[in-house]
Amino acid sequence: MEDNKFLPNDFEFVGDKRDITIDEVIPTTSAWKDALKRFCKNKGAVVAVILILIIALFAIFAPMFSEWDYAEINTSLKNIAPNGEHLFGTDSYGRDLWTRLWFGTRISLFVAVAAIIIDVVIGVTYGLISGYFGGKVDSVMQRIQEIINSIPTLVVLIILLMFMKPSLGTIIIALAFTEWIGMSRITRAQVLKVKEEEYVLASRTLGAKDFFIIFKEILPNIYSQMIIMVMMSIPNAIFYEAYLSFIGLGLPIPEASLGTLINDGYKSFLVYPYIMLIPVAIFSLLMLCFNLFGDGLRDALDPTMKER
Amino acid sequence: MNKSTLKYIGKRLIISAITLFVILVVLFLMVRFLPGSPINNEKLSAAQRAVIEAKYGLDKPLFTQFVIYVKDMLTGNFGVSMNLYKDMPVASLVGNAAKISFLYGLAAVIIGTIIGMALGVFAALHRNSIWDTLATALSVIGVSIPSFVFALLILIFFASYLRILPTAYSSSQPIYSSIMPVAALSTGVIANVSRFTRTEMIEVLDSDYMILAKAKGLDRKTLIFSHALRNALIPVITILGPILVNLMTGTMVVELLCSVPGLGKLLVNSILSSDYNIILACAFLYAAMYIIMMLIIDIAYGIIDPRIRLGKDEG
Amino acid sequence: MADRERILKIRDLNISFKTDNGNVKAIRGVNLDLYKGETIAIVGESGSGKSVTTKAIMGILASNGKIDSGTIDYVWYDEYTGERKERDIVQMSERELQKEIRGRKIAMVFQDPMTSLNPTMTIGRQVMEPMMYHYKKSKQEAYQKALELLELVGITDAEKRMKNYPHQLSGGMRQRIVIAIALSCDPYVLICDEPTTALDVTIQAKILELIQEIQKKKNLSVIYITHDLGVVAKVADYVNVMYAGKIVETGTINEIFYDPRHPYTWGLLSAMPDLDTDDDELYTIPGTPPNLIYEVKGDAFAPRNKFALNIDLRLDPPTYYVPGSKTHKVSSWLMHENAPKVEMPEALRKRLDKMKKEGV
Repeated sequence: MEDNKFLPNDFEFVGDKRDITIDEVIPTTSAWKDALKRFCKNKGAVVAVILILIIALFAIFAPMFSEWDYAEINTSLKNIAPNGEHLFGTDSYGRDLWTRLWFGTRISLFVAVAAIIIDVVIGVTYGLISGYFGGKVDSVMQRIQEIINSIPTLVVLIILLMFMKPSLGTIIIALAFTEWIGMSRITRAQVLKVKEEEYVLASRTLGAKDFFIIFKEILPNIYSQMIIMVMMSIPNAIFYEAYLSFIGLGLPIPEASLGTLINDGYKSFLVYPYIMLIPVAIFSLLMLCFNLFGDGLRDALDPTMKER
Repeated sequence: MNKSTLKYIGKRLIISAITLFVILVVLFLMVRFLPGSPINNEKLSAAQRAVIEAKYGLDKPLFTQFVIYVKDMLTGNFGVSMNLYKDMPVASLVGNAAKISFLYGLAAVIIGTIIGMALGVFAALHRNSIWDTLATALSVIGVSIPSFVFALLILIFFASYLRILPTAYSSSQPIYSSIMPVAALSTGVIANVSRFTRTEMIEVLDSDYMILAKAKGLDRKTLIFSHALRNALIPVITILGPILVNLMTGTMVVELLCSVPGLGKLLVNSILSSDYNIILACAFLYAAMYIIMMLIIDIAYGIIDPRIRLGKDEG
Repeated sequence: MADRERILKIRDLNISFKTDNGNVKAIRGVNLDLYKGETIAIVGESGSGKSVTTKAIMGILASNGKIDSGTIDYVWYDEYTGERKERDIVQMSERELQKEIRGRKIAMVFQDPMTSLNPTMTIGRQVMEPMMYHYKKSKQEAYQKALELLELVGITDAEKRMKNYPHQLSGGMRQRIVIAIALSCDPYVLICDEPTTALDVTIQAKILELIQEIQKKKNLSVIYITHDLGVVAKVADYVNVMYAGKIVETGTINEIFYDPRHPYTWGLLSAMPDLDTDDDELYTIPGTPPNLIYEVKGDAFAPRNKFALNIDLRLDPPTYYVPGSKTHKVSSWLMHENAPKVEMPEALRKRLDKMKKEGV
């Protein structure tokens, strides 16, 4: 059928000019680069990161460049609707809401980050000790953790807040106290897993000390899990701070945080809805962005971990 | 139920009991030593203080006080209110409030779980369609944004702007006035459940046993209803725990916002007015409810899902 | 030979899958015949399209897969009237496929028994379900039949096992259950997709024997999908060697094992481990199968073929009958009259001769 189309050299061997033994090489990229690539594919997460950065920048710089003070009361300026001078208007004490909003966002972010740092330190240490040393130490530490864990966060927070006077520090400590358990669980699970790996055994047979093994062999292997956990905890901390401030157990007046701003606005939302709606919007946006960011990070860093 | 199941349940019961006891001790000590409690008021003279202490039984040694408190508690007596509702028995105050909160929570869980499951299954069955995208986007928003924000928005929109729903709880219209708070509480449950159900359902639909079931020649309806749903919906029990936590925090604010005389509102008010007996009872009740619910969820999961053998992964 | 009855005839089947990275042409012009009571095997590397072909026969392609062209003619006799019917499965509606074909006429045994049973349904229900569904059998009838089936597939304590859940059984037991499910509606064709790969070596032979035994008893036609030539040698009457979505060589078991013609078949046979290989190392076929997202130009095997001709890079080879055989067909330019004479590698020759002598 196609005989007429044959070329003269059609039935000669291609020969061994070609190197057929080499498998197709898939370019290897480092794990972090890979994760970054996967992350960037997730549009929602990328947008979320950008928004978080923008909000954070405003939170840091907007109050500095504002001509108004976040706590300065001026009754002649109260309840002004948003205009050119007061971008977001003023509240019932005549405080500039633009300044207050960003200052409050700054506090909320600060509380969240500070709480998470403390909780990472506690959680990782606890998990490392419990997982690494195992045996009796582990089972005692696990029982203690089980007990603490079965007290609802809310009750813990309330107990702590009653012991200590409401203040920035109190809230941070209260949040750190309730959030560390998740971190320590993940650390412990990872330690138990990594402990049995060949390379840890190898370095132990080479005479490495416990301390060395923990820092050189175990910690580097739980980074990605830790980062995921941190990113998941931040919105949680922001939420609890806002929540406590909203029900009146949070920061004392005249401090501002997203929670206190929403609370202030709620008191007069029928008449001046903007006082409440603006902080609610920023708060919701932050929560949404951190959640999307956390989801994206989890999918990127640990593709095997399922969405739960 | 086999031996290891019973052993596991036994172990859980003991841990729960210990936890509750620890919580009780901490709460009790806190009430007795906290600055600002009615007994520690500096304005009181020594004589007045003695009267009050005698009245509340605070003149006895701490340990005896605790024993008395526990004894009373076991007979359903949680003492009396100190500030908020002067000398009213705490048990009835807390009991009435808890009834409302519990009903709200239950309604939110039932409504939320049913709607959430339906949404999740629907999204999974129409995977990658516009409906799926929409449902997924909504559930991300619902998971991220806490219920008190929803409560605020619903309050503004329906109660103040449209004026079609009452803003506050009224005992004369208990159901009608409950629509809004229950709706606000349900949003989070719906979002969590639908997101989880979708993931589970998709996993089930892609599983080997669904391909086998399809190869048996079953129709789509049978496939979904008798093979897929059961496997996708059983694991939803596992997220009822976290949902419960969300609901507890949620009820508190929603009750404040909608003036529902529930446990959350009572707790916040008693904190603000330093009524320690009520705080103690409320906090203890919260913890007890949480612990019991978690226990029930765990055991229920083991009984419903034949794959899970309780007590298998100890330690 | 004359009274062999063809019950499945696949002609020029083309299937593609839509993926994020593009259209994958998974099956490219497959022809396949299956006769009553006989066993054919489809062999090839993973990703060569073996499973896709059989899933197409059952109409259970993944949702992103599409049959672009071709026919799958299936012949059966009506259960009541005994009338001979011939239908093209490709043209059948989803509803017809589901009611007539799947489970009832053609049944399938899957690769991994650990995951192919519904974890929350008792064994009994899973075995009874198809009978009750397709034949409207009463619960008692179905139960009785299920018990018989479980005994047929060699499960002791059948009555007790009916109440068990899959996780309470071992892998071998589960595969027996999967076979029992496949047999429950008395199908004519049984497709076994790597039925023993996931099992212990000791169980593998038993399951194969079981399938053979049942096949004889019920006069079934069986399609084996496997990459294990050992399995093929044990069970098949005919062998189809598949590469990159095409059948490159087909023939009787003797023709494929003792007179292979396609360089890819040579490679497969050389790569087959046996107990008394004299070679120091196991032969492997160099390179990897082509990515079917890209259009294949010429012979898909050419890049890995030591004996590739220039024309292989240009044109897809037609199918040639091996002279003197009515069953042995090869798709390779080497079979063209103008092509240089090529013999299979010496080592393989020796090995096959030895196998022949031993009568494996």
